[in-house]
Amino acid sequence: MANPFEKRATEYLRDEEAFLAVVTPEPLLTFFKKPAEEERLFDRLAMIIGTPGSGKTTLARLFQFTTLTTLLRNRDITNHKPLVDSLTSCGAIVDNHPAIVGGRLPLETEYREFWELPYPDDLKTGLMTALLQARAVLTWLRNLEAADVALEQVEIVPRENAHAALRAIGGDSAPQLLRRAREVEAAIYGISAALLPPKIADVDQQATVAYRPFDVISALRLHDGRVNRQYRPLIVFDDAHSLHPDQLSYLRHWLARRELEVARWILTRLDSLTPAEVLSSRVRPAEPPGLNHSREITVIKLQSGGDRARERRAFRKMAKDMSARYLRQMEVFNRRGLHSLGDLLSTNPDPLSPSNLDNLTRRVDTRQRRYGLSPRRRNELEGQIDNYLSGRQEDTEDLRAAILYVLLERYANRVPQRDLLTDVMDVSGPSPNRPLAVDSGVADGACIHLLHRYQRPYFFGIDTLCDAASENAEQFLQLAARVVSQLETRLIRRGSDAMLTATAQHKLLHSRASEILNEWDFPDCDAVRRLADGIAEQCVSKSLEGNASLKGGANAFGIPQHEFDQIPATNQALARTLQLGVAYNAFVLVPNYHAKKQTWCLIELGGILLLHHGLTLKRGGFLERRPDDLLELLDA
Amino acid sequence: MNQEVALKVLGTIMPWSDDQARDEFAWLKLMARLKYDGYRDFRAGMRFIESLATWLQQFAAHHRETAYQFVRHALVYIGPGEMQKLVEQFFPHTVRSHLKQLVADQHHAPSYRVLVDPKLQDALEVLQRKTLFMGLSDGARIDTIRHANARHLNNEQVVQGTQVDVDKWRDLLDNLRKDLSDPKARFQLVYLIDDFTATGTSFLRFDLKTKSWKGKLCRFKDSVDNANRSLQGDAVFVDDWRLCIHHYIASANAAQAINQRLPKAIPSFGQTWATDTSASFGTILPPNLPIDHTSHPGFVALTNTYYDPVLRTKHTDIGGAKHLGLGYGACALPVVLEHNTPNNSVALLWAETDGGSRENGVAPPMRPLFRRRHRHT
Repeated sequence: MANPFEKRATEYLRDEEAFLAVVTPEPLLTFFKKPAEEERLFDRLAMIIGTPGSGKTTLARLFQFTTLTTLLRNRDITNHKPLVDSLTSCGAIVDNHPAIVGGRLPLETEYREFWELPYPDDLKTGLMTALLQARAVLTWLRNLEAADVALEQVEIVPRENAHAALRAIGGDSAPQLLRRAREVEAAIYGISAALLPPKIADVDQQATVAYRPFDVISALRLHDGRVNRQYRPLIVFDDAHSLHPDQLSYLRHWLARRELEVARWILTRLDSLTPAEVLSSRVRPAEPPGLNHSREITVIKLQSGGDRARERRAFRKMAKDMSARYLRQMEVFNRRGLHSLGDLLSTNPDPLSPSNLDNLTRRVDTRQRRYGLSPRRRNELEGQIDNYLSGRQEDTEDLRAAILYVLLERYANRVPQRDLLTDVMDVSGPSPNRPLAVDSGVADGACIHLLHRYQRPYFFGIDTLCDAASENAEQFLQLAARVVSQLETRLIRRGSDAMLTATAQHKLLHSRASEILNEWDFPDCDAVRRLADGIAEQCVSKSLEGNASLKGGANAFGIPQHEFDQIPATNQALARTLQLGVAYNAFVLVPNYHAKKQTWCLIELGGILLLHHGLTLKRGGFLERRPDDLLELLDA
Repeated sequence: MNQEVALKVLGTIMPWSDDQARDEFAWLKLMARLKYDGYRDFRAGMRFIESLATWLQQFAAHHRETAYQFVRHALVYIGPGEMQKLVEQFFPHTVRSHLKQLVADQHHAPSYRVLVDPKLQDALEVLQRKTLFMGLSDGARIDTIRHANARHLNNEQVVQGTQVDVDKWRDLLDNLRKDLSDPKARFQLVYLIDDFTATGTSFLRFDLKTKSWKGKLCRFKDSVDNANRSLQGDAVFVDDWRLCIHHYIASANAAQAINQRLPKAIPSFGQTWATDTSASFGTILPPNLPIDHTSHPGFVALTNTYYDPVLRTKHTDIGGAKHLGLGYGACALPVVLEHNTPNNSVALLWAETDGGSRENGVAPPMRPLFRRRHRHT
């Protein structure tokens, strides 16, 4: 079979069984479990916001009735048990039965066109909401039928005091509801699909008559003679960024009404928000009067926002699980029992060539002479390096020399220049004003130096592969696909011993990242590229400072938070560029980051850019900058 | 052999790095799945990648990359999807437009009026019924034409071959007259249909030995003459009948040759022949498609090195080339059709011989990549 890592989206997996075989439960726990436990997931509007490829549609599909019934039918399959548990903890499954009838409605199609109709706003929005409701009803009923539920056995449970309105949506039986929804859909579709929109007076009466199933339906009840079960309907409006901003605002307001009992989610990208909403952690979308955003809308952002270390760990777990599921589908791997991608990726960096190692050693010796470091002091430093590296996998001669180089530079910075020339009393040479220590940060800085000066591989191992995806499932698959394809080739050619060397991994990831950057085609991607490249260039420069002052180096700009918050108001073009950069995984914003006795907003480069420019994936190293510095890069 | 084994063999016999092998494997798997595995003569366990692994081994190690690059970059494979499209387009695109223009000319009206004027519409329907479609070979896909145009064409105006006996001719006329309620109706237009032509010699050629025209068109003429003689006073066609010849695919040379030969040949066909004879093509391959010493010097050299003269027969001599390395008539086409490989394509693609002692030394055995079903054995 074709490399499943290259399947961009789960929409291409038509069969529910095939979908369930590749989907991983981790994001459910990360993003949905908490709101479900707090009973905020189904009782009010939920806005699920994420970058392309963050898994919005995949998550939504898990809540579809057909998916739930397929999953429960096969719940004894070992791979499915974690999914069942996760969906149970999210409230979608109760006592091994679906608790919801979920349906997904993509908004990519003709809904945007309603905004272009030459009608008053209330008629346009009325037509759109009626069509959305009719299609939602059809989606629920289609899901039930696809799960072998006879519609004759389904009863509509109306909200209290909504019995009169029940007749307007077709009545309390599912076949009647279906018939009415079809009539409304056909009447409205006739308007939106017409070559020329009809005059208001000629609009089909079926299209404008009161039709509000969301205001009426409370639940769907199934009696099949043996069981009497009640389901909450859930409608997922996917790709809401396709709507006109005013349409989306109206839709949000309309669905946020508290009296609705139908569960409703809106899935959208960050593009659909305003720059202020994306860039500022405090700004709320401008809502019409009467809407209290935090109380009436549950916002779930499918990207970094809270405990980033925990999120990174969770993503690694998800990515590894996902890759194991995908490898099982590839005959070449499955037949050999190779299901762990990590086991096939070497974590031992290939050593420098003898000539490069010789060059590095000479550079260290030169530094030692230049800074007047005594052999005794050097021995002490080498002893510290020994202590740090002993028992570690990365203990290699080149890394030792590179760490020593960093320590020498730090030594020189911590000894006053005068002492370097005059203090000859102590046989150890002058003492630094702060003790020198070897830790993972120094080692990481040394590795970055080795990468840029000697092309020693830096990006290798499964954790690096996961981290480079910036917590975006699609990016992970894009990167992993190349690695997996190479592994498959090696397995075919060699039969065994397919493990990829660190050098091969680094080369593959770097070239794939560069390809992805070349393929950028989102709005204003040139401006985003200018800004990203400018940030990266300065970060590389900082990372290559001899003393590795930021350990592994910098991968972000830090803007004082109060100045950053002003950007949407003071410079719209910059705000838009930043928004799109965030929306398309070029940047990750880390607001309210406390460091150096100040609060910053970090503009962190996305993993793909870090791979391309050879910057550390470890977080925290940033360069202090001002909004004007960003503008300068943008105008460059 | 399964695909994995075939890829392993390819990875062994080709001097590829892992990076190159990854790219090539991806391309091979994609193209095999998308196109080449559908070649009608492949069998389970021996489809494209497996055939390629075997095919490349007939070349010396230092020649394999040249052979592979030819397959990778020069091969033109016309699959069932493309062929189906050409067949389906034939009636609406070629026939219907032609008929519409004929009706318009006959009534001195602009062609767009034909579809809105009821009188002209009727005339169009009558002319459509008076048009006969005849296949020149199996490749004419007469069945597909029938299915694709079931609303427009009657089964009794679509015939698989041109060698039709008198009963069939009579049957065709009877049905036409019955459908049009006209006891004197005769066919007004004939379409002769074939799938592919690379030289045009099978269709029409001048035989220097006998100083006469030969080919499928002449055999069709004989069939019509026989029928007219046997119908005793009646005739298959009206006096001013027209003939159209349609090939779904033609090489640029063949299209030019057919258009040049037709006016030369027609005068020899006598007074009862069509008043107008024209040729149409579903698609004409680019003139620069044939390979030569300039575009593919390495591969052209291989067509000489890996060549068994046993390929030459009296039938292949008709094409005018005695060395078949570049295919029949030295057409040098890199073309494969999903149902067969034309013999006009370079022989290394389709030839299968045992090799051995020949007049000028020992010839290597030739292994086909896309095995050809021969018409002449």
